[in-house]
Amino acid sequence: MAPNLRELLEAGAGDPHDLPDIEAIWNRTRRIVWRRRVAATLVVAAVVVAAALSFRALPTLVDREPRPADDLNPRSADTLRQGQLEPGAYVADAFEHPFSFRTSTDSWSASVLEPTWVGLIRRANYLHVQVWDGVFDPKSRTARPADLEPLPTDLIGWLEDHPRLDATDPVPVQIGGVSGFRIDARVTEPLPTSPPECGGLPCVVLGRVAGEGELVDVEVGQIACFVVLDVPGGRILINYRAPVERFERFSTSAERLLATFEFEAS
Amino acid sequence: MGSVPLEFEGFCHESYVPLIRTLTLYCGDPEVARDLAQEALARTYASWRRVRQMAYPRLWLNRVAINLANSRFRRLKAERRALEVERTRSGRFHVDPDPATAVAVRRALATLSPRQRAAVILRFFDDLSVEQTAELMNCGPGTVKKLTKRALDGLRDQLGSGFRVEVSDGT
Repeated sequence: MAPNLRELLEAGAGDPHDLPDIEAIWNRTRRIVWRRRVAATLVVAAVVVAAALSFRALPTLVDREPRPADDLNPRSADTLRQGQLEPGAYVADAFEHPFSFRTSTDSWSASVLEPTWVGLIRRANYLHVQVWDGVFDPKSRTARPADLEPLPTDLIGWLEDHPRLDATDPVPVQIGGVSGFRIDARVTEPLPTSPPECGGLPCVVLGRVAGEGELVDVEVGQIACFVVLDVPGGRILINYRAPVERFERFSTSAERLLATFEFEAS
Repeated sequence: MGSVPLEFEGFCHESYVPLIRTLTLYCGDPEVARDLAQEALARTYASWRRVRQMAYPRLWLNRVAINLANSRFRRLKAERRALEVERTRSGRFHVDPDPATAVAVRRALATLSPRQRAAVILRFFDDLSVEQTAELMNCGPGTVKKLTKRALDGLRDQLGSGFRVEVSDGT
């Protein structure tokens, strides 16, 4: 019968029959403890010397000019490109109303970069910064070009009163130095016939992205957040949405990102 | 630090021989293993207040010992000491009941990489679980399984495939 590996290892380990030399172990321990104490003393001494040197150099440090990387100046940021974003500062200068932002993790990616639409994505949830050129008639049962209406002056009020949405009260917000209003909404009554843009899911189509023709919709089961910002020479609509159960978590990430936004014109 | 407390002395008596045997397999030399075991116990004693509160102080001791064995500087020092001891000592403390197998097994283990060797010894000689081995080797359970498989392949090449492997939990 083939031997067990355990038996082979037992043979390899042999049979030591001495006892531990406690005296020798104790002597070695003393040397180890002594070495540790010396090392600790050296570290403390090094810290004291470093602190003393830093203290002497303090006026120089305080007086120095701030470097470009110290703040979120768009000039020091990288131009936003499609793909995964490494932690850092980015400027979306291809957008009609250029803005910069900063990410501290690599979890965001840029999916759309157009003059009227910047799409950022984090774990399959989108945050859009858009310029709309029209909205769909809330009373219409379809989302055809004929149902398109000019952008209302009070876009937040229009969203609040939309008959197919259940919306929260508008809340004043400030993003990137620009004041605006935020509203959260979910679909209560989807369109009878889901348009192709919704991928067959029951939804409501709200508006159209200027120049792109892309329709903006909210699907049943999602919560969508809309922020309308009036900037000089136009209106920006920031919107992000996620399934109800994931919205709060995504909203936290989105708000953290939005808190770093800076609009150039602001 | 005064005299060695009885608790640590008991720990030394309980873990000394198993540790030497593990290190003999790992290093291939019983005398070097003996020196490394003493050093590992000394380091354990230097941190005894912390180690005695651990769930498995032996696991910590094994980790220190393997780390010492992996340190080239420490190993050379241990080899020097072992040579001196062999020159001065009259009797031998280490007996190989089956010298031919012992030499063959140690030679076969020496052909493995240090991590493969550690994985196979800890799993099949020290009877540690995959998780305990992973914790000791500071890696994931999957890595331990991979290392163990390669180590067994290596041992089969060296010793021939005629040995059985029995473990309490799956590899």
